[in-house]
Amino acid sequence: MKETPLSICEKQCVIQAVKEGQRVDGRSLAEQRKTCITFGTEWGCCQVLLGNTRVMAQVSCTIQVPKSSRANEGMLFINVEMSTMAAEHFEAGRLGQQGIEVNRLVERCIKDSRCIDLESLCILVEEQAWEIRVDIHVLNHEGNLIDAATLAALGALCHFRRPDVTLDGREVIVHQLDERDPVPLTILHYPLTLSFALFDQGKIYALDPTNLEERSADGKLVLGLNAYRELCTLQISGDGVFIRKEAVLSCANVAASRAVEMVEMLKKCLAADAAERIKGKYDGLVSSVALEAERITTQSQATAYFKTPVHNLEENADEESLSVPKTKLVKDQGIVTLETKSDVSSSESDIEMEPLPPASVVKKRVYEEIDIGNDSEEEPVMLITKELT
Amino acid sequence: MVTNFACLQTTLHNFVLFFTITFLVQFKTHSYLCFIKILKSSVTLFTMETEQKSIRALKCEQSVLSRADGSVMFSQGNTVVMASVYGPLEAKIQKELSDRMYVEVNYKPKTGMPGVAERGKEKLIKTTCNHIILTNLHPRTAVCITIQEMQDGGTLLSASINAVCLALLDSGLPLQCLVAAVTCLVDKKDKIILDPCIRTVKEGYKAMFTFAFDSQKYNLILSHCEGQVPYQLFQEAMELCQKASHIIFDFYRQAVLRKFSKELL
Repeated sequence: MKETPLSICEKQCVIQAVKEGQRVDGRSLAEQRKTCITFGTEWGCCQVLLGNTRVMAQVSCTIQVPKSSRANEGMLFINVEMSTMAAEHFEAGRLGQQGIEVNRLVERCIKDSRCIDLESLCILVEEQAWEIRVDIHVLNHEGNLIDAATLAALGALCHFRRPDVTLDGREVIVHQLDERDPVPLTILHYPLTLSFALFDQGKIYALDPTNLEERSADGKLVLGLNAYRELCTLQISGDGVFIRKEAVLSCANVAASRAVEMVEMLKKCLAADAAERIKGKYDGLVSSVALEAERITTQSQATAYFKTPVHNLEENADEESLSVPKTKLVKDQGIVTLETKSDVSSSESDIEMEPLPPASVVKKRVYEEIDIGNDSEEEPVMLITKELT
Repeated sequence: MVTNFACLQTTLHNFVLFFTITFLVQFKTHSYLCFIKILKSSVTLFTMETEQKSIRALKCEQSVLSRADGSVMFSQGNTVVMASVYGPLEAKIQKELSDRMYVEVNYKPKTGMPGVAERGKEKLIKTTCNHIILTNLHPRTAVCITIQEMQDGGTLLSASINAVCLALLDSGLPLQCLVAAVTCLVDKKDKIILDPCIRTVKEGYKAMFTFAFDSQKYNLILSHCEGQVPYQLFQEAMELCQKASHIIFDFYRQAVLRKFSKELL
């Protein structure tokens, strides 16, 4: 199926917002979406949630004959899978242009930066070596697949344990997982990618773009960095985007500090997972399925797309219902009383808002009892108790 | 008892006879008394001491994916699967059916490319879906169902069918009935184990059965068997699974209730 076309209106809205330093989901330009990393029961299974983008990676290994050109090294194979599950225009079993781009960038970031010590994967020179395969499944495409895929792949590689092997002469004995403790991979450094969407001919850049932003941007800048602030991948794509070198440097600086934070977070998640495993009764991804009572599923989808700034809503609501600068909710046996204080100048209120000038509307509403149609059984009554001068 | 075998595949593999019988046409099983007590909130019910006669804890999260029309992350014990539904979509010309909807099912394994085993599962799920979706309501369209295996805790086939049913419910496609699938196996001591975990499956078994039932009269929609056991045991296993399917239907009800109501939370 074809992808839903992006309207000019939507595109202009995003571009206009970005020019004003704002984003549709309420983030600042250098802010990432909420990242969540979970691991499965099997070794080398990692699920990454980047906002609504969801990617899962699974690492597996087999014993193969090493390449004749690199006879003393194991192999690393990265495979990205995109199915219709992620987006309507993806086709199962066939990577499109986007899929190939993601696959290649993950390969460049993880394989070509040599973060995995492949020599340690060799069992017998020219005869047997481990082939590590990383399958990356894109489950939901809400923008910035590259970052999510790299993080998932790295997480899965860090989490993975391969079966231990011993040599008996020239005979290789592979020990089962319950026979001997499995061996983790040797990871030399932790590379991650961070993407920026470029707007206004490369003058404005937004970190971690959503799908909407990706599609309305002029181009994209992908930076691969590790926790030592070393650059290992860089790609600028887009139709005729010019970007100043200062912009690349400032992007790299922002990305480097984010990469350090992300690697720290990944390590924390790995440590937490290891601790959970030791406790026993580990159920992996089951815990990432929301508990029955925890989530209102219909709401979670509705709020995901457009988020209105919270303070605006509050202001409007107050203006309409009360027009009183200071309000305090007091709950007392089913009756909700709104206590208002006459002192306008003091600013101890919990709700942040601009003090409104005492208008004529305010005086009218004093001592009025307002019944609010509420679904609850006791019909709460809203009272304004104190007089305003 | 009238049985119509729509497809009968017989394969000789590893000297064990695997046979797959797919009943496209429902047939009535023996009527019997149902002992299930439907508790208010818990999902795992009727645990008997002697054998495992309960199904593992069910958990689901509907509308997990923002792009799909219907999606669910479903777990049954340690098994976790994710299912998504897109549809009704515009069908490709070669897939278009003039009188009904084309149902496309993709089963994605965790590692490697989908092989024969995955295609087999796809086929079983597809026949089940064809039965429960009111396909003739949407002629010349297609529905695309994708199942992603996320964690193997045994019984992936039945978990997939249950996840697909929940995803279809979430997508709002008109359905004729719901479907609940239950797996059980006959171990080497001829004991029937309901909803086995991965360890039990790996220990070896004489036969493994997966049955799917509809929600109206609890009639059989699908039966998938591998291994060799006397017919008596097959019958017994089917009846046990039929009883267990009530728990799953009850769980569906709760999931839908939870989705549409805020008051219950």
